[in-house]
Amino acid sequence: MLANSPPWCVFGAVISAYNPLLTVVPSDKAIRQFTGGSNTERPSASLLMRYFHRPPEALFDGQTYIDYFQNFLLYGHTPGTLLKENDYLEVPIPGGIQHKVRPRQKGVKVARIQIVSPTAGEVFYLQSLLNKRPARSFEELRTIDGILYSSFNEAALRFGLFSDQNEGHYALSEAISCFCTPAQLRFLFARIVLEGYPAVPLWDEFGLPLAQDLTGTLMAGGPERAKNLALERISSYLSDASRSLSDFGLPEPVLQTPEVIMELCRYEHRRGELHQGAMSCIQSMTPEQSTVFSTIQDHFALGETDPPEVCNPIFLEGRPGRGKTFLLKALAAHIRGSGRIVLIVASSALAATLYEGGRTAHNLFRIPITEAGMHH
Amino acid sequence: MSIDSTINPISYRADLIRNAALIIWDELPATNVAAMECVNNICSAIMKNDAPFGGIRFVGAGDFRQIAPVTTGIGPIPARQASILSSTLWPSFKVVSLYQPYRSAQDLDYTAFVDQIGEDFENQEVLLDMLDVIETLPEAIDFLFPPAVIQDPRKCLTRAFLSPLNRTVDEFNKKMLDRLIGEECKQLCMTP
Repeated sequence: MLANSPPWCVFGAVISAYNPLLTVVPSDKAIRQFTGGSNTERPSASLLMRYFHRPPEALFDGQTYIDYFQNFLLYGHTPGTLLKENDYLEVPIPGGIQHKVRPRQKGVKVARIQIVSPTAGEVFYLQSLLNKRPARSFEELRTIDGILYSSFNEAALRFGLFSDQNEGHYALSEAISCFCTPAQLRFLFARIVLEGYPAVPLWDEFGLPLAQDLTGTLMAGGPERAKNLALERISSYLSDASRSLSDFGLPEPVLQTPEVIMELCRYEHRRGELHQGAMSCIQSMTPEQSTVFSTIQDHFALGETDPPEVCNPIFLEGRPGRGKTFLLKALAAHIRGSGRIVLIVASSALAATLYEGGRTAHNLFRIPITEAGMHH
Repeated sequence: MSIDSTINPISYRADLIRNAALIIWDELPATNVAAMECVNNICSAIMKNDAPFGGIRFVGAGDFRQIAPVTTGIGPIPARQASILSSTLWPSFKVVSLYQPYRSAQDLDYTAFVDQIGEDFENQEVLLDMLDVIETLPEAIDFLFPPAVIQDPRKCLTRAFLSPLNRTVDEFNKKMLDRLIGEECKQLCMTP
């Protein structure tokens, strides 16, 4: 028994007796590397990998990480040799040695997982889940009631290991009712999270108050962007403690440059209105116009974020009064309504004024005006 | 002959272009081919992609019967050379067309008349019988800028003389300025 083993972890055993043996199942670097997500990343296979690759028989299904090492013994297996009765073979780990697994016949062993501080964030929640749930992969561990959660933090909460109503919630609520500034709240939030309280539900609940002072600034715009900026500041508090947002299952802020922000802000508060406008334009189109509209949509895969691999430009031609401008306006409103950027330019300032946010091509793309540009 | 955009590929403006889900360029046929190719080049540089417009979705629109690019030469050959039709980029464009009248769908005679203009400018003359004709400049000013309009700067903004030649613009401007009521004052401003 190790000197630093706390008594509570050998519950049920007579502490003064020589037996049982205590095994410390490490939640070591191997676990810290879990974010890689792949079970086969370390072929030298930590104990956790051995556990995930335990034999597929039903007997092993209900065994937690701790149960497994308490109840079974692992031996190296030489390929080709016969297995004894009661021996089971591990699921092979690519590049690792395969073991045979045998139920413990005599003696008692008590296992526990190496202690992880709650401040470790995701690793802590991983450890908590491993304590309670049998699983064969990290993904399975994060799947609760058929839903795969992106963080161990969330999965542990859904599994009911931690109460949503924690001190962190009370601390932040109290700070808000005491009229703390959002900047103070962000600092408090970072401290609370560093203390090990589940970050995700706190963020979901208090994201907006934490970003309140950022909604009004030119750089921020709408609430989503303000939350982005708030995350950025929280991230810097966390990095003071050498931690990052992802350690706590929090989303990474999307960094945007001023011109992108300005462009998005122009339309953000009217996205619903733009979308409505585009829809009513689309409905009032002539059959020809709506065919052309959907041709453009399909050609560019406008439903997707990224343009298609081969994305040839389109030229929309038509004599005066055929509805070119009408169609382009509907197209622009449609895309802006979905929160994306459309740059509209025209060859002359007069044509540019027909569009919301329209500019001359020379202005937007900074085309120098030279005499030479007219010569050939 | 090529011209280069002054946008630095690592700049806020470049980032704006990089994030564009779509670029729309209206009245593209009025653009000099060098300007369009300049935009194509800067987009490629920003996106690090040699595809047309750096692979950014691009819609050009317009009507080749309307205004052609400004050129120093006269006649169809310089106009053709300066047109985007002579760009190596042009064959990559997917052309989609609108045929049915929409704006003046109720007045098909007028639509036909407008269509006739610019259809074949070498061999055909179009009778301007569907237009009101005003003979003198003062009459035109009275028609376009009657006193009710002149008194309201906002209304003035929605009207303009179109002049085929730059040298007559100054003449129009002077005549219009003379008609403005009120005291003349100069506003100085600094532009970056």
